[in-house]
Amino acid sequence: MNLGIKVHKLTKTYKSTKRKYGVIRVSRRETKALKGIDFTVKRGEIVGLLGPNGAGKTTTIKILSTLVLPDSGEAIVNGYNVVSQPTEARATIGVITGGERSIYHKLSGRENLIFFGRLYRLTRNEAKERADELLGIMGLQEKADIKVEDYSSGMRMKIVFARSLIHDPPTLLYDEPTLGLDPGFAREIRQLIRDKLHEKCILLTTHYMNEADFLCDRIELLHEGQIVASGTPTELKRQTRAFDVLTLQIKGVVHAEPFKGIPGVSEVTVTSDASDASAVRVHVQNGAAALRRLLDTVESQGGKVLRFAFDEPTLDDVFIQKTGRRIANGDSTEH
Amino acid sequence: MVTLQSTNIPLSVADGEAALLKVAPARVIDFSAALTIARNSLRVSLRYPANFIIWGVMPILWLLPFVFTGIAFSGGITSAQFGGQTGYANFIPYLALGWVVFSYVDSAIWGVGNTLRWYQFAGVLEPMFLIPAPRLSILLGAAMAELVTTSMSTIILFGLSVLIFNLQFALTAVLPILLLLFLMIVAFTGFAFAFSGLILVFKDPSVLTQFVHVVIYTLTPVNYSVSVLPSWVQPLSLILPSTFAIIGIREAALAAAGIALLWGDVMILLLLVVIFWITGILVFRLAEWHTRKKGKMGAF
Repeated sequence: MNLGIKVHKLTKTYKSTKRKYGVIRVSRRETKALKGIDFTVKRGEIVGLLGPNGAGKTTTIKILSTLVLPDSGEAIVNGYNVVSQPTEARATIGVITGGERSIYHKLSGRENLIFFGRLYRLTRNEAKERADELLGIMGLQEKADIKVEDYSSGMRMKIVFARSLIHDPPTLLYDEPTLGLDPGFAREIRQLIRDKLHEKCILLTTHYMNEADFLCDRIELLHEGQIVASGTPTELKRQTRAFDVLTLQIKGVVHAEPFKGIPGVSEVTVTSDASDASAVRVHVQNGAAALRRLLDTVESQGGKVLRFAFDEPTLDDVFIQKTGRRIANGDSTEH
Repeated sequence: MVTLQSTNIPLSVADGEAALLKVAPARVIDFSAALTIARNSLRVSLRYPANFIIWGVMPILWLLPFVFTGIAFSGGITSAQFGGQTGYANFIPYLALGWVVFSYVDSAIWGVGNTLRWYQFAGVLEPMFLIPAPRLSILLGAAMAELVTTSMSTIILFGLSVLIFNLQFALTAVLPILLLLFLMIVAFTGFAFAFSGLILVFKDPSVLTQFVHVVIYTLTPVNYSVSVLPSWVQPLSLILPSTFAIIGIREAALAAAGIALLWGDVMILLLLVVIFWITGILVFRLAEWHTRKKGKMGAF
């Protein structure tokens, strides 16, 4: 079985009722969280669900992990239908939702892992062996027998992460796995996903464009319950290549006007500082073709190009092009 | 760089999946998972030192006000009026046994019924819902853990009552008492399933728990006999397992009634076990389905 996750025409509408004095119904509201989404995730593939709050990412993860029932459509995990075979489906998935709080803080890291291992049908010895192995991978052997309440946030998250792997599930569902972690720990977790879990089928949601770019083989861009684009990060970004963005660092002061005469240039921004240096940012239809003309224009004004760079479009640019809005205001910039 | 070590646990994708499902999943309750959960609940409970005070001291503190109230009214530890109503003139053993039995009712309502809420406080509700076992197993595990801690409390309560009030009970009553107690506990576990389902749907356990606790406490003959209740209320008392358990246990302990005399209580309790479990499982499953449909499984 090569397909870890199959989602077909999945819909979910949340109904909420507003009541006065807790009894009298005032109004009823329907929120269409998923409007018939389709996607698959193969073994050995990391797929990211990317979108702003309310796009339907968490609902998708919760349906796949049997916490929420869909209205219609089909969700299959490792061959098991999450509606009609929820227990079997749960046996084959490792899930992270809810962050670092979702373990017993009065137990040690090792006790947490053994406990959950036993619940996932490992024998006592298997659970102990597997817990030791995962504590080693997470670099927590020294702290294994200390209560989780005395761990740092990052260490707790590592135990949560280890718990999702305790039964070696073929499929992993990670809802914002690095949310709230400091950059160092987030980097470690990402590295671990990429280096150690490449055999698994992984579906993860994230707000962080860098994270999606770094981890995902494929991305499903979700907006208001619909998939608006899908593909590899490179493919998606290529779709937005209506223009290139070039940045030139220049010694000397130049003016914007001469650049605007170059064919294909749509926008020019020049910033200068007191140290006789300028930076020119140019939006141009074909950056490679216009590069020679841009360099000549700098020289014709007495400037000297110190360096230039093509700025890659980001996944946020893709999302903006597809939906007219940004995914998140506070994207993580570390990497 | 730490590398993945080899273990006896299959790490390849296909083998790992097979290992997970080497046993067909339980459909209603996974007893093995319940036992694991019970052991873990006890381990966690032992890490809160204040629990020892609750288990050791509180039961006797619950009983004493009623003993003192009785003494204040009657001027001693016996009352002809009380004897006329209940059949036992000495109200102290009457009250002590009532409170011992009601402790188990209390633990089903407050302990098992509120388990899901407490998991949510601890942050482990969703991970527990994600284990590959029917969710009723979680509640059964909680019931098992509550049985152990409540038994610790009741043994202390019973022991202290014997020491302080010089109570004497028939030793031959031990087996009938344990049988009646066991059946009542099993029946109330079924009740706790239904109650947990209601908490899953209505989300506010404090009011609901308080209400159910007060109703059952009022209807159960813990401190007084059923005969003092208004006549139209008395039939309600007779649908509660605690009523039959308390009456039967008192007869066994204080009037040396043998199992032959208690057979009627045993049969009624068995019937209530069946009714409460079927109702409990159905209500919880319906509540679980409703909550998953609403998308509010982890929310309280």
